[in-house]
Amino acid sequence: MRVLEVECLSAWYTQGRTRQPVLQDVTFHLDRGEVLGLVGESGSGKSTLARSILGLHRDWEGRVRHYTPRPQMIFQDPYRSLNPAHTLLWTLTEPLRAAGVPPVQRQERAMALLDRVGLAPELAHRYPQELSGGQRQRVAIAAAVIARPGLVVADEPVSALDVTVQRQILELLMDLKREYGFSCLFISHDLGVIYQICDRVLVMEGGKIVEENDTDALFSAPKHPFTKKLLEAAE
Amino acid sequence: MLLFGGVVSLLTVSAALLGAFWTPYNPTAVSAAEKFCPPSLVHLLGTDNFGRDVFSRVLQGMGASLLIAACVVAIGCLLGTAIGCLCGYFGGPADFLLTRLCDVVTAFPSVLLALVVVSLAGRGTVQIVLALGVLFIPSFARLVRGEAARCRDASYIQSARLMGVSHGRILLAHILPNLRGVLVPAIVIGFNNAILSEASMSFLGLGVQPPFPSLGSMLSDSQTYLQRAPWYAFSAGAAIALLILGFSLLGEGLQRRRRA
Repeated sequence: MRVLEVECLSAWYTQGRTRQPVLQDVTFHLDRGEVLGLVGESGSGKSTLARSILGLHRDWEGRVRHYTPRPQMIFQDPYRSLNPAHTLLWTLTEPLRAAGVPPVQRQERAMALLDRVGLAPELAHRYPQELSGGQRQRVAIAAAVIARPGLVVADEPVSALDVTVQRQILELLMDLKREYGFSCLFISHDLGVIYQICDRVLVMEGGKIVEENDTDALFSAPKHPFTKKLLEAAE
Repeated sequence: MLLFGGVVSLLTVSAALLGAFWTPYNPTAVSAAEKFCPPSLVHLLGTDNFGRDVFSRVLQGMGASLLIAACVVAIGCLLGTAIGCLCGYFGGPADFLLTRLCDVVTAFPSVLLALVVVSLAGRGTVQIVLALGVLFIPSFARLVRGEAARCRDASYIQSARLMGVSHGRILLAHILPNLRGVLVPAIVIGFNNAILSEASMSFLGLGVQPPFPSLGSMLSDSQTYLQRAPWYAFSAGAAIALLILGFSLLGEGLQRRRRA
């Protein structure tokens, strides 16, 4: 069962009158329940790929097919991914409101998930400014999954956090993935993180996918020189 | 600064409120026998060239100034915020057009524009409120546009779009509450400017029409009698100064607290 199919996607940025190409003929697919890693150096077009797939970046052509409604995204910077004008409870109930969940159930589900991601119930009426980066990212993950999306795109969700917090957040994301059954496109420049959680990996260089393989196969026998270079650099 | 501004503003506003319901004398009652009485216990701030009680007129004039300023700021803030939000969030050619239009309005001297409105629509309080209200739109629109554009690119707004939240709800429930921080000081400072503008319009005889008291027209009338009745000019001037002092300190204080 497919969750996402991308065919010949090319994207660009417009600077004045010139087109600056970012992605060239990207083709891949994502199966239900799968965690697909997308790895590459910064500036290789990983984020643009994610944003194009979700419709947040407009300048692209090709074919993108979603087989589940309302895919969600988890962003890198936990300090800008929560609305500073609203409490955590509001932030968690808003996706449910948008998904048409009746008001009586919203608060209950939000409080249950707040507890599930390891935050005390009294934090529900706090504002994001009063939380640490790790706590904020827990809320951001909760807000992304609460309406039970089929696909969650995580764009470097732990890169801005320190190492001990990183591990906890990754574990939380994987636990929730099992419980909620979403598929995940996981973007990172950190091969260790990719190795830890992904089933399959896409390697991206200069806006093209240069290698694609199951995680174990890719790490044990990389084929493309760029993948080899990345692995050597990580050792 | 915040506290001092707050106290002065509170005093002037309560004096104006008092003036709306009760004044020691009828502020428009003329008395030929009591022309140019100096300040005394009977007339706290003396009387003017028609024998009217200056204290009563100042109280009611402050009320008029505050009411007009409130209406002007309400027009400027509501329309400015609406225009700014739409421009900042949607962008595109409409944004370009409205931004240029705001620049055009700002480029005219405010007195000149008010004169145009008055010569087209006639003198009076409503006309001056509308004229000044329109003049106050661009400053609010520009401020809000910048904030809304900043919000639009924030990841929490992109998340909201992915959730399928409508544009209207994003503007009202996701972006608008984030504008409070910039709007509150802007409203207080705008209020201040509106009081000054109204006073200058009335000084030129374009605002509140006689015999109803207005600080600006009192100041203008008192010029003629500066030697005979200096308390008249002093009272009107001091009332304007107090109003401005209170609200400008309050506005500055709020803005500094926001930056801190």
